[in-house]
Amino acid sequence: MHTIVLHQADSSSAQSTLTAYWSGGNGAHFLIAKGGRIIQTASLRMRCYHVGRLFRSRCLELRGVQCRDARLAEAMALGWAARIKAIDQLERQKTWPDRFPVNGDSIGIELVGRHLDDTAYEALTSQQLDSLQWLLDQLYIHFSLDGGDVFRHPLVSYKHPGEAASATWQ
Amino acid sequence: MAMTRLLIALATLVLAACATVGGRFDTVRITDVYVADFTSTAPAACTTADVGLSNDAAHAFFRRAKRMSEKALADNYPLAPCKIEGTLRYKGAPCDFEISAAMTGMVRCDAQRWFFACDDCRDLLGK
Repeated sequence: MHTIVLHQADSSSAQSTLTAYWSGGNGAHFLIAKGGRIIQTASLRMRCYHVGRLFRSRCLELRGVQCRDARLAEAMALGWAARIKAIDQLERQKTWPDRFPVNGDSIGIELVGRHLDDTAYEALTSQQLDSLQWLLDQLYIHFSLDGGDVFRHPLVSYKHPGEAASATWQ
Repeated sequence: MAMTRLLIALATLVLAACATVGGRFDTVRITDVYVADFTSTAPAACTTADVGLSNDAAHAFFRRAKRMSEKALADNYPLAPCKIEGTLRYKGAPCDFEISAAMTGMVRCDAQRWFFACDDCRDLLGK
């Protein structure tokens, strides 16, 4: 595992998130309830479908105009739908750390919270943030990672911009 | 009396739960589809060309699209930064709709919402 991706479940409770998982929805390895309870929802030996089908370019997102990749520049000239598919295709030819994490090399952590509108999610509680840091510290030790290996979901994939926006970590 | 109050309370809870989660949706009952607006949170990256549907094409989108839960939509489709918005009638009642550049859509009638995605609607663009 190279990275950790933070999600917000767009749910009001841990129970409703778990119900959605049991109904066949995508999920992650851990779930942190609003009161801070941590539930492991999948073995760390398992690949969870949590990153998304199409993911963004690490070079473009983190380096912006400094990203000098001719093939990405060609992709950027396409219409939106064709562009994101072309970027995904290019990025999947790369290996970590030249691309963002994919499902197969990342751990997913869901935090309970609902979206409020098109740009914002509920703020995470202080208990969730405390539990998140505790969990991250354990995962850092186990997988030799650090805070730089943690990403919010919308940075990596084309998801709600407010998801996990209030998450902080060291 | 206590039982009656309990039954009323339970019925209210059920109705409240149903108010936002749309029940069955019959796309054949959609009429009067009109595209009214285009919005983009990334105007340079996602333009009218990315979701340029006519009124008829927007109607065709809903005929072809699959209905799914909001979670299934969020899990399995990208969120596009631009969309068209408009109005339609469903079973004669006025509703709003959105269709995004990811070919996902939503219909909202009062408090009820239904979510859609179409994997083979790209041919509708520009029509």
